[in-house]
Amino acid sequence: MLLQKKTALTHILIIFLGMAFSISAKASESLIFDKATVSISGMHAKVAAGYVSIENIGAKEDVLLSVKSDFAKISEIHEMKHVNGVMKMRKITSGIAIKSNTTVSLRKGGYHIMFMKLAKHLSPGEVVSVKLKFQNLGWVIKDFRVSDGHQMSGNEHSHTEDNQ
Amino acid sequence: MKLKLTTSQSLLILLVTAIFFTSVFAVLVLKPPTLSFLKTITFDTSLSLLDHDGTEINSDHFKNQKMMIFFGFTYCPEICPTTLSDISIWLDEVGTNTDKIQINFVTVDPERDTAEELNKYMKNFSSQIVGITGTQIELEKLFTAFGVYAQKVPFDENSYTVDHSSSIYLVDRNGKLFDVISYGESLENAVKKLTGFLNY
Repeated sequence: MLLQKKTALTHILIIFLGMAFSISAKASESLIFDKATVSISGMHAKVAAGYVSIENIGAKEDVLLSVKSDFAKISEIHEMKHVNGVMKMRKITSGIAIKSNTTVSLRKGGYHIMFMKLAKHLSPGEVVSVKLKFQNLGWVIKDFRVSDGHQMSGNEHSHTEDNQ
Repeated sequence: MKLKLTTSQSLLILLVTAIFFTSVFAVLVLKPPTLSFLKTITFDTSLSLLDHDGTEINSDHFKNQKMMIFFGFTYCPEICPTTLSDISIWLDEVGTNTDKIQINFVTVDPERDTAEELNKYMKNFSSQIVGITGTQIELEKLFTAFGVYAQKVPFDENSYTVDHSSSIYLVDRNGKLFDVISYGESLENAVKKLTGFLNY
């Protein structure tokens, strides 16, 4: 009898775990991440820029609210604008909305993650973890590959006033 | 009295008129291109700055040679390193005589960009580029001379950025502004402007 109860409890636990896993898998599948890169400017970089493409394949809009990392004391979402020959950068405090079935790219010339006061030396090729907080999805940890940003240039600037 | 013209007289008048208008057209439209400078940069003679080796420099540093000058800061994540890197690419493309151009990178953020910090930063780029810093007052003399916009903008109590002009200025040995390469100009355009600057 006791054994039967234990077996039933185990089954219930497995079902619950299965459901929880299924919900989690569904949730994480709503956003697809691509081209996650941390761009540094050479060996003595004091700041780094984070770029990533986020596709929302879910039914609901989600919002990237904030970012954290272990390798920088300050990690913020910024937007760069190039207006009338002047480079301007602003901190985004209201988050970046990613509507259902759209892709938002954090990339050169627009939205990016700004890592400041780097707590460790970053090397090109290295993979670092970045935590991204979304309104619906919560915290997501993603791997970003470090690259020497200015060496990728070759004057292929992207001049986006609008990132979406 | 009615003036009657012979056929030959009419033809002569027609010919003279045609020559006149052709000449006017040639002078106004087809004139050979003359070099027009955008403006002359006047360097304050009291200018006192530091290069990235910590050596003091004054207004003489900017005279008697062709130069490129760009304003930025080491905490700039994108435009500044990209531009500094692009300069090296352009120089490689242009090829000959590029070593005769003096290239200056002037900080708009002297608070963080000391000569020591600039020294480390400049190691990432062409050794031909000279990093320049100084006090805010001295740097502003240069900003004014070029009409460069540089404005500190706080993010919060811990951090700030500096909004700044992103163009590269090409200045001749007499301080005349020959041309400007804007951020995002194609490689082809930049190389064309640089080649013209070198050859004029």
